[in-house]
Amino acid sequence: MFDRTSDTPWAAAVLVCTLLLAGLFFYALFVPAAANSRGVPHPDYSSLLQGGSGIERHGSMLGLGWAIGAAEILLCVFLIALGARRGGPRATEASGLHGLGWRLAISLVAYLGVWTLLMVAYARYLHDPAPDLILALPAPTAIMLYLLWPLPLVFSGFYVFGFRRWVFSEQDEAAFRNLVEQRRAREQAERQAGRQAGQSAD
Amino acid sequence: MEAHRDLVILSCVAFYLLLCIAVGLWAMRRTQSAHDFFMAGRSLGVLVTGMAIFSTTLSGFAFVGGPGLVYTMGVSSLWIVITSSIGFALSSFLISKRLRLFAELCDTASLPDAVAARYGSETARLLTAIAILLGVLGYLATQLLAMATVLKSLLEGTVIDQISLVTCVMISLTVMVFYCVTGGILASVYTDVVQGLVMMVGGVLVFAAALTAMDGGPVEMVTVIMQDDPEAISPWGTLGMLGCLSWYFMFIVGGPGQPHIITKNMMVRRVVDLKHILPTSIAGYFFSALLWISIGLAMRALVLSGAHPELSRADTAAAVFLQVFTHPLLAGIVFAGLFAAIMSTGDAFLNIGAAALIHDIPIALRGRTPSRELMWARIATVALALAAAAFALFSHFQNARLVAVLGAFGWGTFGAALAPTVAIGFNWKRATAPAAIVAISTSLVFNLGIEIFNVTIPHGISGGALSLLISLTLFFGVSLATPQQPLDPDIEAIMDM
Repeated sequence: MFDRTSDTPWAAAVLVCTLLLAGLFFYALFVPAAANSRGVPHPDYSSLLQGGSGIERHGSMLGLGWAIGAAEILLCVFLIALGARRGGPRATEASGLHGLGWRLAISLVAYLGVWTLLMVAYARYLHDPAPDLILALPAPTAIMLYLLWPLPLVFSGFYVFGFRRWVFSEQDEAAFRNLVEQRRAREQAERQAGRQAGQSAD
Repeated sequence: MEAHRDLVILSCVAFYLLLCIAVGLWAMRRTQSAHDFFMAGRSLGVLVTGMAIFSTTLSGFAFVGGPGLVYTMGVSSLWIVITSSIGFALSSFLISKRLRLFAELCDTASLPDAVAARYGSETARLLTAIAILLGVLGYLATQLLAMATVLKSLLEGTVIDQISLVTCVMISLTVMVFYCVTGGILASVYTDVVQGLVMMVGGVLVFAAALTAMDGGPVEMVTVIMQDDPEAISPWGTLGMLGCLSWYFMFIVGGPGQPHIITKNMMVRRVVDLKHILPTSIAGYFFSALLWISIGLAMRALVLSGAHPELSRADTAAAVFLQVFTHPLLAGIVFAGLFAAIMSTGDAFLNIGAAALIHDIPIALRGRTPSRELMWARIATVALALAAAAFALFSHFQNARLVAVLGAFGWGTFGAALAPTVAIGFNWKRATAPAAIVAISTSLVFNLGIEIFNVTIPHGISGGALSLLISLTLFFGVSLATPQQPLDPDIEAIMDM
């Protein structure tokens, strides 16, 4: 089904994550929704919504929510692997990522760790309506804004600082220049042949 | 200065609009061909492209809809904001380099050109162009309407008190069309730089103003919101966990399918510049998004604490905050920033829409573009803008759901229609043209169906996210079920890089 090209393992991983995520969202559609699952109107202000009881709407869905978030994170990391420069000196290394693989793996673990931390903090928050604030925010929201937001910048770091290794090497650049020159020469030859054919027809 | 608040704000906006016109005139002299008009002659530098990418990403939605969502729903919409750190990186790894390489090798002038080059299919080109055209019309109509509404609210209470919405639409349209027609994409991206700078400065200054809007600062603000409703300040806000996670997915994985944003990668002067463009875009987005986060939370706390009366409409959160709680000059800068945000997205849509109309669809149907392509590109830009304006006004006065239907046909539809075709297909050689055709057409039908039939999905899950999942699954499924097509050797060589 999948050919043994260098992109195969990463495309297969992306497909598996996609199917997993689709399955989880599909399952979620059949989980009974609490009355406040999408929020409820504020009793005093018509332009505002309230979430209402967190336990009521999320108490039984923490596991499902964690699984969906984890599948999304996995999908993102596999997509990055799919887009990264591949290949190696031996044929068996065709799908290798030039050392990016283990860095992605460590980042993935950290990403999943922060995600799990957020969910654990939220589970506690559900039972503690007046928690201490961390940098002016309740713990789960603080984890979201101060950790989950900046942590994936590490992937941008790989792109920026490892551009020649993991995105576009100097050899790639030379090969590309060569490719463009050959194509231009070919196109010019075809145009000339076309013109000559036109002249001889006249 | 406080006594002349309206005058100061209007002067800032007027100065900004004149600046856009000046950039259009400057760019006109540098736009000699249709290729210059659509691709800026592949001559853009790091700063210009980086700023253009982030300012195009943050449309008027970030300055109007975003703060309004935070005001109404609490933290929920910040899941869109936090996608920026992973989303930009993902798009860069998946498509930036390949789009740029395709652009140079195949001399492409648009995203459908690149799709046709990859799949060797004119049907895939045609469907990509149609998806772009439909999305552009709806998106552009909402942007024009938003711009005209803000302009009208600014002019009311001044000497031009009785100005109509139609006149405001025409003023907005004239400025935007002028610089897009004269200078093409070059004017668009250079105005994006100005627009991006205004948005960044505005974002940081408003963030500072919002933190001090309440006695007791941010801690008091959050405490007030939490005492009213702890869920509103939890990570999920009022929308709920699954709704937020569906946004997170849609805005990250759908990112590489946004044609108005990703085509900017094709205009870069050197491939290696891409590594500097990524941090520039992320930094710009971060500073501008501070406005989105802070205004909504501040206004919610101010209303709940009784320090400000309730807003008549959530979308006015940013405008009211600027009018009441900030220095007139800052309000002027941010109102100019608001116009900047709307116009930077609008001009990008005009450009890719014109390309679809006079470049991609004619090639797909007749095998060639019209002669005098530059002239037709300019005419198409005007026609598209007029059509969007007419559509916006008709919808506003006759059927308010029309713009909403096509407006919602925005990020989610582009993501579902084009992300599998571009993000996966440009990196996976086994992907086939029938898969691209099925993915694009299914997502168009699915997204339009959800909007037209007003389908409500349980748990607040986004229809765009489901559409993207279906489209991705079909893309893989059809690719594996259909015979692998031989690739153009040059395209295959690029895909191996």
